[in-house]
Amino acid sequence: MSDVLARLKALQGNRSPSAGDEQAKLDGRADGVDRWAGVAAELQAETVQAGSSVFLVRHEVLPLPAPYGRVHVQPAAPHPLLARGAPLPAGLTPDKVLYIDTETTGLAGGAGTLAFLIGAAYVKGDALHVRQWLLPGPQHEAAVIGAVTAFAAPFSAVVSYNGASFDLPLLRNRFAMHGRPDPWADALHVDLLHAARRLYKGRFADCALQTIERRVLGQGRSLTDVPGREVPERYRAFLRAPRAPLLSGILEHNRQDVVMLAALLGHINRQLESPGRDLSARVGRWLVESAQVEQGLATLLAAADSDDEAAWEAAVVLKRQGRWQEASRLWVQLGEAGWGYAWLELAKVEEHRTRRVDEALKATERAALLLGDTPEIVRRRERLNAKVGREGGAGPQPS
Amino acid sequence: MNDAAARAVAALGSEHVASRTLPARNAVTADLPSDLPDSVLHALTARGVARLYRHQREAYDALTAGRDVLLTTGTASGKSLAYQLPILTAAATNPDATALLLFPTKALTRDQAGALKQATRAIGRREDQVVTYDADTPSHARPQLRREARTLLTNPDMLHAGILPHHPLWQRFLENLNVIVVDELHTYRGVFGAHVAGVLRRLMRLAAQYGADPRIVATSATLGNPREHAARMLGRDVQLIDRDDAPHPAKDVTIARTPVLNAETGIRRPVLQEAAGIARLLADDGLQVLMFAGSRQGVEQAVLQLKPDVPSVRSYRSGLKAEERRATEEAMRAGTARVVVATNALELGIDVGSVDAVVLAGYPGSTASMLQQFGRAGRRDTPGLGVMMLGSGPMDQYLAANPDALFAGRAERALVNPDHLLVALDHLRCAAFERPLPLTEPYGGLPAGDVHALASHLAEDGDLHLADGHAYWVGSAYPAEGVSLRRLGRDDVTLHTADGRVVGLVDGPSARWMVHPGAVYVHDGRPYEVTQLDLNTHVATLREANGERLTRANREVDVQPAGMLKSATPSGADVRLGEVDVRERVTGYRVIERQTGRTLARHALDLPPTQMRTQGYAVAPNPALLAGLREAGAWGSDANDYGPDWPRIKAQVLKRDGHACRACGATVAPLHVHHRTPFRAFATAADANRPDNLVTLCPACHRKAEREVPVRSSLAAAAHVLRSLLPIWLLTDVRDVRVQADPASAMVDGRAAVVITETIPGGVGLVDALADLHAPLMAAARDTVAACACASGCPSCVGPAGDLGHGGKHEALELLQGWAP
Repeated sequence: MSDVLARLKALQGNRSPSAGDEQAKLDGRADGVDRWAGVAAELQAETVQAGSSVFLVRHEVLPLPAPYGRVHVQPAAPHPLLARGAPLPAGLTPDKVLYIDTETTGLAGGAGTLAFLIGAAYVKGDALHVRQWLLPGPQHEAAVIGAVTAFAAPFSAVVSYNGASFDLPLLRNRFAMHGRPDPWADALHVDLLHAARRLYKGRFADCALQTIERRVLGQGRSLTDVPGREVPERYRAFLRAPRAPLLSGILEHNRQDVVMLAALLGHINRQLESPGRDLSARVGRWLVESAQVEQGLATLLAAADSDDEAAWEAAVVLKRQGRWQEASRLWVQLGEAGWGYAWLELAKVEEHRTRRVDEALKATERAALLLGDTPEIVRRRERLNAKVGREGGAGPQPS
Repeated sequence: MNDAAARAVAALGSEHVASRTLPARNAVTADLPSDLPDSVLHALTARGVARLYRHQREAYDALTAGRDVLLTTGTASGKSLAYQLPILTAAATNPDATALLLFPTKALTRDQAGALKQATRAIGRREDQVVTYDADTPSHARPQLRREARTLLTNPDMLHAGILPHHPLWQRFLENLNVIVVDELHTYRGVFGAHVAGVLRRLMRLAAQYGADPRIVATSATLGNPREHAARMLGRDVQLIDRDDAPHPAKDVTIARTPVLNAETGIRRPVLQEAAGIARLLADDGLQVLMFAGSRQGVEQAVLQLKPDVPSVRSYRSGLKAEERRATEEAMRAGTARVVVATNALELGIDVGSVDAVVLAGYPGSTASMLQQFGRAGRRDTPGLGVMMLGSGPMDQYLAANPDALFAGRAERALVNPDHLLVALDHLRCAAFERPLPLTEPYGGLPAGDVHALASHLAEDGDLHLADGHAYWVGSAYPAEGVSLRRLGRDDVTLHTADGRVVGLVDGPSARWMVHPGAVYVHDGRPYEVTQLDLNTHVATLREANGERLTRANREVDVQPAGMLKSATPSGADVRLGEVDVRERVTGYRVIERQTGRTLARHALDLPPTQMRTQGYAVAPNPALLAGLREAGAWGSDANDYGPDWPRIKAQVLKRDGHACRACGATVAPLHVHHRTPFRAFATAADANRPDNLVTLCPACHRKAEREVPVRSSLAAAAHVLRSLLPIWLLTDVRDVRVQADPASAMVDGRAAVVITETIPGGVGLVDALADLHAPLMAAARDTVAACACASGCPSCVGPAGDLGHGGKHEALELLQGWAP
């Protein structure tokens, strides 16, 4: 044991795991293409030499349209709603869209988290191309980052899943640390997690990528899929002793992730164009919140007869526009269907807008039947009764 | 002015110790530098600054010439302007230039941010470029602040965990880093200091990699070793600027001490109550008073006492909300708060103007602190008034007897060891996370070989990957998160309630005696009982307790030399010092009734021992001194001459006891035979050696039994006073060292000795410093005991008689006179 490790062990006393006598040796093997040829072949990848560095690239071509669960992958460019208020880049065609996903040494972020596998998919001609860059060791990172930035520069939109808070900041750190300009400084970034939350939040247990993939696209993962939490440790095992089987599952997992992004973008685009009944409420609301109020309201109203969520959202918009009668009709419809809060909304309008105290009182009692005597209902009832009293117990006043 | 203090001291019945006038000093000024940019010149003129103090000009010139600077001038000497000037000059000439300012407290950061914003506006730049970035900065605001920041104010913890690990986001800022300001450098010492030095080292490494070569301006209170401390903390050789050329009003300083309540026991009136009494009397005289109390609880207690008489009294301490502190600062400046009671949070350079009088409840631990606190007293042309009320501790008593020591201009040394192996290991991890670490280069004070060995060690856990002559971070963790700058090592025990709520953390080595099963643990004023301690998962489970009972752990400590020790032979003593292994066992605990202090029960514990390597210092009386002490009957730590029959009697007792320790059952040789009632207490050996007075014990239990005999040895008495006096020379916390009397110390071949060990693994250099301080320390201990008026030991000298039996005061004095003739 070296002197400094002996001192360290003594300082840590019996609190520390024993410092082994074996020192990890500096990996002194020749680190060129030859060393990685075997691994590359097993992973169906190629080795690329760049200066003294080396990395692995796997490339695959999928003819389009390609079936994916219940849907097909087809060339697509992001729907304008996905730009979240930003203008779409000029000339944004499907072949300018890059789907991106990374596999990393951890989730911590910061300068010390590496993307050891960067996966990208893009449409070229009538095929989806999947390209993956694999880092055989951290000492080769500069070369991979150089290759990725050069490759990414021509694209004008990047599509990811949770990339806004994870993959993109992480990759931007790596670009900066290797002195590369950010290839996406002017590109549109579409994070499909945000879109998925708008459309599906509350419908499934969560909006994780694989949940959406299974429930929305009807595609599962193979039994040999690598769970995300095992990924960093497998890569560290690979660094200690490079064996292709440690990484083959991760490459496959990453490959499916980027193909899934292409499938999901197409599916979401179609929903935004013409939402099915089950999504009208969500799409309508999205349109309303994106300042396309009339179009959103039309979408909501079209589904309002059969979809309570759409009816509620439509009533909210109508109320905001001062269209009391139309809103009231929807609240009655919802109230009859058992929505207590719809009766309360109706009571507010009858009390303050149309000023029909008796109607307000009736609506309040309907709400109480469904919600019980909540403090709000009790207060409202007392106030309304007092108003009825002041008006001499007379019936409804002609307004 | 001094009359007011004298009247107050007399009215209260405190003992007057000394009065001094610290004379007023006039300013020495210098021209403004001729190369100042116009905008800075105009801003200064607008502020009414036509000339600089000479030390400010010196600092400016040194920085301009490319040197790093340490300023140790006094309170209110314009240290902030000295570092603002280079920042403003750089900002005026280069809009991209950036500056990083590190402050030890949030209050200081806020105070300086205000001043810097104002100054930045005055030179025609946007004040938004002055950014405070700390744990309170909301995360949604951070990206914009990072983009805008030219002058960044933060603290070491944020730099460590929030900025450096994310340095790619700070690329622009680091590339343009021009000036680094490290304020209040003296607050960085011990473990915290070593960590902060590690953080600064990482900052400098990244700055260099981004092509920046910033100058450093540090400020500090007076230190005994300013340049050495700066070199260790900053890794740079600094130009020291220590002559204070700012004007200072005269200060009339009165030193007093609390009066004795009971001459026999030496009990004195509580210092806090006495100091608050002085503060009230001075406030009655129409003076605005700032009182310093040592602790948060002390502040609150004093405020409670003062409230009825001085309704405007306010407190200033950590733990208050920012608005509350700001309101107090305002009330102080405006003079509406007639008394403010503060912890040393206010000692550091918060600008609250000056008060008429400053009252200190006890010696604040260093002359630098004392002078900084007094520095608050006095306004432009009016002398200030300072009163320090000394309490009953030996250090306060020593200073009461030797008040000159307070004004001799002797400053304490700050100790820090940035190459401390455990600290360095933590920061190597963090550094590798931030940027691959070259294995063929030294890192700070670690030679390349050590860097390589430590990196290999870390690679075993998989966190580092070694390739290409570098160590690359490939771990999943975010190492800065697991490294607290305030602690050493990473095996903290988490305190949970049964429902999973986290109450707090205790460091691993302390867990065994602080949160052992059955322990009462007080957190934030709330008592808990520990139901379980799991040392494998590092979790202690607590439940709320009623607070009527306390517990005290029995700790057995054994100190063994870890290699060859160095020897020294100062007067009357054999000294050994060097690396030692401190083995500690928590063997049980007592349950104590809080009201009465009565022991209600004793329980045994079976916890694994801990072992720690650190630095130790043992002082044994040399044979000549020992002979003299024995002759005078002043030595209570002897193996006695048990008479010619002893071997036979001993063998009988061993046989009777089945060759096993009667206390713990150990059967391993050597076993001792112990006199229950001390041998010396009998007239004849035959009486002492009666079998019912004898018992078989193993060496560890024997040592414990000897410690508990009611006759306190001179050694134990001397240890008590030495323990209390150490901080007079070293900026250290009493918890950083352990001082004990060992009747059979392995450090000095089994002889009796006072053994001083550092409680921090590896030590921070306290023991080495002790070697230089041996003579003055012993002399101070001797004087303190000699000057004490008590009969046979009291809290002010060798510790109280009473529960420890005979105090041992005269015996200790004989011993100390041998060590300091």
